[in-house]
Amino acid sequence: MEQFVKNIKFQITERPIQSAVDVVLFAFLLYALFVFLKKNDAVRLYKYVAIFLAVSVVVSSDTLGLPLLSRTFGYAFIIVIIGVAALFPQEARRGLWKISSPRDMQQAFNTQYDCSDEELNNAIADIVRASLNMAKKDVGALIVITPEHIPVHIKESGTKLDAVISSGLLESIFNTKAPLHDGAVLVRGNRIMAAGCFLPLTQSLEVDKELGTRHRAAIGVTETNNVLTIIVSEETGVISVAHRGELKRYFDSEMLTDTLQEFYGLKAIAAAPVKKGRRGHKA
Amino acid sequence: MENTAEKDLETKKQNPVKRFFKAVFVHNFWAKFASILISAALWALAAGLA
Repeated sequence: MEQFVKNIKFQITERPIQSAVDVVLFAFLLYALFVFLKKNDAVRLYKYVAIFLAVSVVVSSDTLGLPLLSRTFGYAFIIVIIGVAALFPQEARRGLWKISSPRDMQQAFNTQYDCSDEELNNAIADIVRASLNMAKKDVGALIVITPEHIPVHIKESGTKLDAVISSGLLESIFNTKAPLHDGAVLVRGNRIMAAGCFLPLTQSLEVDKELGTRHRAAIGVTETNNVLTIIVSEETGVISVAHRGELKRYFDSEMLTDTLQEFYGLKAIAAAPVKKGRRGHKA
Repeated sequence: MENTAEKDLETKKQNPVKRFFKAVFVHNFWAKFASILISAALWALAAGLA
């Protein structure tokens, strides 16, 4: 016991900065783990992780002289990370995707379209007009704005259209008596690629219980794909936008236009003269 | 997760220093405090048994 206290005193007096950095960085890792577990409604696991780490620190110390346990528990934090990834595979995949994809919308949307800025601006205006009209009439809608890489199984789950966007066409698709209204419309550039597509639902527990399947699908597809979804609620007529697994609600015409222009990479050049022909949107 | 677009705009308009202070010290205070406490305890164990 005396040696134990002596060792701690030695560390504090001889290496105060290293000790403080050690504690703070490890606390940061523990806090990140806590946030992850809290998001997945598994905070109760946190105390077991803390106990496991304490046991691993004790048995892997040289003082006790337990070579087998010491070796096994020496990799405790890696075991914890693998355990968490095995328990929450979807969340781990989503987390890695979030880390690897750029945060900025314009950077994320580094895509080339076969249309001019003017045509893109017209498409945005049509999407906004259709969304507002459907919101007024309480018609539900789900529009996915996609770059090139949307998973094939999503694209092929619907009906291929490849038509130029117009507000009338969007409203017709989402007309409750139309056969394609039950599903998502995939939009790329100024064209509707497909309609009636099925999207993966989010399993997140943070989504408001009041929100239905349409909102869950809209969030779900943005969790693992670089897409932006526009949702018009059938019950309330509220327009929402989901991106990177986050849902923002109560959009009006101006906010929706701004968000779409930003996503298409037009925001900074909205007032600039229009160029015709194929172009790339660089950040 | 759910947020209103207006709230988002308001948050963006807030003073960045204030936002940083809130994010570091105020938000989820007890979780951060517990993490530091556990970390310090584990460090003491590791240092003491070295």
